Amino acid sequence: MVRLCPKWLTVLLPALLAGTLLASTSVLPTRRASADLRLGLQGAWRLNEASDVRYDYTANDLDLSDNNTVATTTGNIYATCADFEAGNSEFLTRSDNAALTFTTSFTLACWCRIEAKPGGSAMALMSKWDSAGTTEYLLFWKLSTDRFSINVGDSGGTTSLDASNLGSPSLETWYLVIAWYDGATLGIQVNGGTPSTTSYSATLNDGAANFALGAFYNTSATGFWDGEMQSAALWNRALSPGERLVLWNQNVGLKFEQW
Amino acid sequence: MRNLLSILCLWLALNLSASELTDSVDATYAGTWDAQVQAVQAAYLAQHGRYAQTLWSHTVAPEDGEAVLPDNLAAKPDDQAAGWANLLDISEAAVRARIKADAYTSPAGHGYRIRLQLIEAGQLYERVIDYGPAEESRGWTAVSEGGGDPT
Repeated sequence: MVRLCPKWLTVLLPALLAGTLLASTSVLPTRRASADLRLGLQGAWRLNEASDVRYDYTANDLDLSDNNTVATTTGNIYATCADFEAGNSEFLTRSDNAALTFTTSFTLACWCRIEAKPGGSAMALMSKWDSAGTTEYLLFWKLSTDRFSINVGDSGGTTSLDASNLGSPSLETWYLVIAWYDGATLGIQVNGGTPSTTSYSATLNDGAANFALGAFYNTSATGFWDGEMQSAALWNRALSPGERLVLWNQNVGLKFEQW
Repeated sequence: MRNLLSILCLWLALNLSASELTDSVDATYAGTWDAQVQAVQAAYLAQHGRYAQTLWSHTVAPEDGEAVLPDNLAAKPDDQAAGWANLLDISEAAVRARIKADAYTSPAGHGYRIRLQLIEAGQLYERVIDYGPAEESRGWTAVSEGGGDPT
């Protein structure tokens, strides 16, 4: 028995079995995602820096400028996260870049927490959207419906979809908000719950608006986010339902290093 | 007589065209504020390692060429000890546009943008002067206040 089961195997076997069991459980997503999550990844920001420039995790190096000093606080995925104060007009931005424009498919994802719901019509999470110029995509919280929402722009105008299945988001609660478009369907899902979807098929606009986290543009920046944000990422493809569940990971999330 | 002159000045101001009004604000800014703002910001950067942010000098943008005393100089960002009142004394300056400073840190370095806003015939106009690597200055542009809200 000793010869059949060497000491290194007695240590390794339980770990291997545990890993196999975890990976084969259909309800729980695997703790470590497949490398496919990096497929089509255009930008990914941990947002765990103390201040100033927020760095892109991908090779695209789409680092974000800090406007009006976005602060930091305790995070959920990483130890710290970005803390946006709407009253100070704080947001992160990057000038127009081809890697951040998606005309046929995309996925936008970020973890967020709302500190306060202001009187303004919208608080933006992620955008490439200028109401006075060209509208591409806008992931945000909408005052009129009190829902997370995704707006997209094409030559015919704009289309909006609320995350109705979640209902009204609570204050001081972390949410993973994911929106996607696959050429036929526009969808939005929160915390791995039932997605809200609508049939939609159009070529999305390709404009010159800045990319922003925590604001959108109406000539100048507006719609400032009031709360925290962490692990923001976008892809040039629609993630599968399984991939979206892996990102949520039972409300634990995944560090980019685990993708 | 003095009141008559005041009324005449006000009438003249209120009858400036949009371009005359923005030209007037530009001249005031270039001749009076530009150098002072740059000096104050340079000193702030040397002391704090970044440029100062300020909130709007006026809670509402001055309308139709009327020169208005600032009413919001004591306001400041809640993460910064200084506001206009501590940076640059413009309390006695009645101006035809309100002024704000947005500070930024880009991968290319620190910078700030001065924003000027005024209302002419009900339309909000804004000019942005960028002092930094982003180079996002913009001439006077009509801004749809609230009109760009997403639905």
